[in-house]
Amino acid sequence: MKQLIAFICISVSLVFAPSSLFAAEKAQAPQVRIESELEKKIRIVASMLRCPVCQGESVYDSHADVAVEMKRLIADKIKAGQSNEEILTYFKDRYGNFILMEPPTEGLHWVIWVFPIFMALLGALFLFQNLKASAQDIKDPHLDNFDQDGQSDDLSTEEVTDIKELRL
Amino acid sequence: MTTEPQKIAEPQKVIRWWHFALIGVMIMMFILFAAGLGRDTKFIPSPLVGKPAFDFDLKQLGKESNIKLSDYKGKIVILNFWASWCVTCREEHHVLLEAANALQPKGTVQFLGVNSKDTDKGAFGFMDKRGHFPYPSVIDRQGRMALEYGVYGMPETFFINKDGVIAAKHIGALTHKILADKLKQAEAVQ
Amino acid sequence: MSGSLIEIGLGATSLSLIIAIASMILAFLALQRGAPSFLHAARHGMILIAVLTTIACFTIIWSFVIKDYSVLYVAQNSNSQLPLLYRITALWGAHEGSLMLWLWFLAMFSAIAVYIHWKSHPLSMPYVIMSLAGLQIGFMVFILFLSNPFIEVHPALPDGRDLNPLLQDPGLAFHPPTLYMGYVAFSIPFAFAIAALARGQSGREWVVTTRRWTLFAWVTLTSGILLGGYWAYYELGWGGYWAWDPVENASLMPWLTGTAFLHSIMAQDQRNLFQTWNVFLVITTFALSLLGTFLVRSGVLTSVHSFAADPGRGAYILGFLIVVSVIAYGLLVWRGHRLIGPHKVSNLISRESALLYNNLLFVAAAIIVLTGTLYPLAIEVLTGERVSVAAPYFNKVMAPVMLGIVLLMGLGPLIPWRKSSYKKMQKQFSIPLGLALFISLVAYLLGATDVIALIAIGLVGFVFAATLLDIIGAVRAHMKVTDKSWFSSLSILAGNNQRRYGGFIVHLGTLVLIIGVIGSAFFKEEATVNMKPGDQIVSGPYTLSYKTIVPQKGPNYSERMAYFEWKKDDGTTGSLTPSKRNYPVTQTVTTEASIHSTLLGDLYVVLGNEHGKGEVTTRVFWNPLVNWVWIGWMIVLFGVLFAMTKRAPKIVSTPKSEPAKEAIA
Repeated sequence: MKQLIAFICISVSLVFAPSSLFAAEKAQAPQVRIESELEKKIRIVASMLRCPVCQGESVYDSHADVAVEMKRLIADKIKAGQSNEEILTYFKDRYGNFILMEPPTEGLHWVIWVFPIFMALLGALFLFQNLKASAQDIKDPHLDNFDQDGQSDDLSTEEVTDIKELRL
Repeated sequence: MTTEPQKIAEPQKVIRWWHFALIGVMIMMFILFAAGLGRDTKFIPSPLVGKPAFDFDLKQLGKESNIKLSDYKGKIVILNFWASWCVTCREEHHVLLEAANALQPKGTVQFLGVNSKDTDKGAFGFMDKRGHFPYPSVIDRQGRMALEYGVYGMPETFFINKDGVIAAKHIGALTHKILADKLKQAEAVQ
Repeated sequence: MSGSLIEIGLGATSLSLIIAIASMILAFLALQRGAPSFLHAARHGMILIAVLTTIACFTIIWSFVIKDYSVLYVAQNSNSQLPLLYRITALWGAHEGSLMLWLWFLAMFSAIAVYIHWKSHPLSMPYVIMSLAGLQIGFMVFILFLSNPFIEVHPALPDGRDLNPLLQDPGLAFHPPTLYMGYVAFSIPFAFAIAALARGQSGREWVVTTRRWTLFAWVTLTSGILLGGYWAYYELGWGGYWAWDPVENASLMPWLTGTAFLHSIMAQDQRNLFQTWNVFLVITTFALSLLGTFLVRSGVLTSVHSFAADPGRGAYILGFLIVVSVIAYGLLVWRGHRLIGPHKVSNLISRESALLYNNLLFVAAAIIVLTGTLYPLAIEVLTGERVSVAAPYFNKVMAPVMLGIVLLMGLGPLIPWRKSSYKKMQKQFSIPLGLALFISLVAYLLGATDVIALIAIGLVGFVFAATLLDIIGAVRAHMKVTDKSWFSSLSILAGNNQRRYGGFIVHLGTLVLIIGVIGSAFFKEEATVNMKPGDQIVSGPYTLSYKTIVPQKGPNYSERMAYFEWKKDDGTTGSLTPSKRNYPVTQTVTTEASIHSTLLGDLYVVLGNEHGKGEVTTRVFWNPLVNWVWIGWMIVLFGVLFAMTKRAPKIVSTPKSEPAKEAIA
């Protein structure tokens, strides 16, 4: 049933396609809007820029006047055939790195990008150290005592206690 | 197990690497915060300082003729972005009037307004109420000029030297002292 | 008459300060001289402070209620047109009142903690009282000398400025107090951590007490954060609930370390491990709560949320933070080694190592958030350049860490203590792993292309399957032994093991929450288009038609409300009415999103600028599964309640004698 409706819809829209194109020319007739390529590109670029006055939101998310005008300028630049990089550079040259939502991967700012990787390495090192230490501690006398309680391996300690308690 | 158990023996005190790491990180953070407290959060350095100013060709407010920035080559240009809806602009208005009246007759300094994202009606209403600028303003209806100059919010003032290079910039309301300081920078830079 | 009321508040707060100082000295003397009556007096002091700060808060609220504009704080944060609910919530509408609320929570929690732990922690009590009184003094001095909400203006102002319109929303009415409550509740574990360090031991009762309070603080903080997200989602109008804003980050950091603590304390409880580390986590969690306050209130970081910035206040909070940190971390470095027990992590595949990995990841996450948040400040101080570290950075960097945490959520609880082996792991996890791969494959075939999304989907399936299989296994084993039905087996197991099963419920809730995050983050559809009346737009399973836009009038605002009709592909219809509000008193404009909410996802519409003739910029979102975030939160809440209703473990014999006497003995 659904397919049938879809089929009818598609055929109807195909039949009326030329006329709806004419309607678009007249500019005032209602239409089914989808985000155009242009609007999509605006969204992508504007999401990478920070709204200068709101200071937390991206240009895309902001309703502030400056942000609205920036979106218009971005649209004009996309229409003029500029790439995303060129548009971002335009704003960066005028506002500085502050206008970008994330620090650029250049100069000193590598620090903030490398830092998480550095942390991961540090963690791995810590674990490696731990591994060595634990290999030495395998003969911990406390463990031997614990290991003799003869518990089932498939259940957690708590569950074993529960079952034992139930039997009592 | 009646209360918390008593200690068995005093463990050995060893100085460990994390002691230094912890203390180091703490000290660094506190220095950072202390340094961060005193600063002006509104100040954002402009990458345009030291670069040639964008040469515009815009219609003059209230006149039919256009004004180009390069018309004033050889003079120091004080370019002030303003709008009638901008509250802080009211604060600096008298500074601009007084400074322009004092400095412009010397012939080396030219003030120029950029009426940004405003209407003619609004702009004239503002000037009629608070005093007309003794210098021209150009119209930046959409605010594109403001974007071209990397303006965050009005008012902002650019100090352009004789060679057409932006020597200094000020965000927020001008005072006589700030104006004089920035002007000196524009005079010094060759 | 009303003027004298607020004076009562001021008097009560001033008196509290004196009592807090006295209590601190008394607790110290009780310790030094061994006079039990001193400690009793200190305890009475703590309870008296709770009463006095309650009175003080009440006087401010009452001034709001009766619209007393001779009180400066009332005049600044309310208006005669403001509805009653928001006149009450205006207490925390700005800096001064927020801190008063902080103090009130601190005083209440202190009194409760001193009262209920009086008998079980006799030897720690002097230190606990000293720490809590110290914290109270810090806040009282701040309130009385730098951020006084009791200031009066004579003659009274004719009418008040309005409350920040963003805060005039039921969601925000409860977000800040919940968040503050979470922050402040961490002060109790903190006080006990100080006591443990001072005494050189953290025994069984310490574990029970700090865990309970941390769990309470954690669940409150979680709720506060999620309420904030919920508020942001429908009030800020950008279709999301988490923006990695500095203020949000400030609340996330203590949450991360608090979560780490809730896990690693298990290792101390069961295996006597990580004692120093746990104390470190407790201290760090509270220090990060204070840091959050500093970051928000000092204006050191620029943020959408930081309303009132004042460097003088910032300097004070920084000083306070330094004092607290130096004392706490100093004690840790100086005496932390005394807490260490004889045990060590014995095997790389064991519950305790899983907890260790968990802690590494959570702390790493906290450090990443901290560095990302402070990086712009550091760069500015060092080089003078201004940069932004916003959502794109955090999303990229945090995603792998979060995936690791989700993986451990499946593995950790199922690996036995002390020791497991690869072979056992294989047996335990091969089915969930297969399922995970299958789910990811299905998601891929259905059109999901983002690698992170695919891994996340697989992991969620993995954790879900592994947890469920484990519970089924336990129930089966129980049924074999007892011959009971699966349902009664499950209830008996869960009832006897409230902490473990409460933990499972919390994990399941978190999974549901993560499903919501995955859905809304990776499968969101959004579009911004200019629409004329009659235009339609397709978003997710919906077709939205724009009808008209009309002016409307609210109690203290005017608005332009647009009327949309939606039609779902299953034939159901409905309407949405997003609007733009103008609050004349504060001259601010807010956008009100309109949301059609279902379990499958939200259709979310918000207005931009108008362009004449009814044409308006419209942002339309299809946010799949976003409600699962809030549902997951409710499950988490339930899980925590389930775990917390377990009575504290029986202590073989409770101390009969008076604590103070024992402290001396």
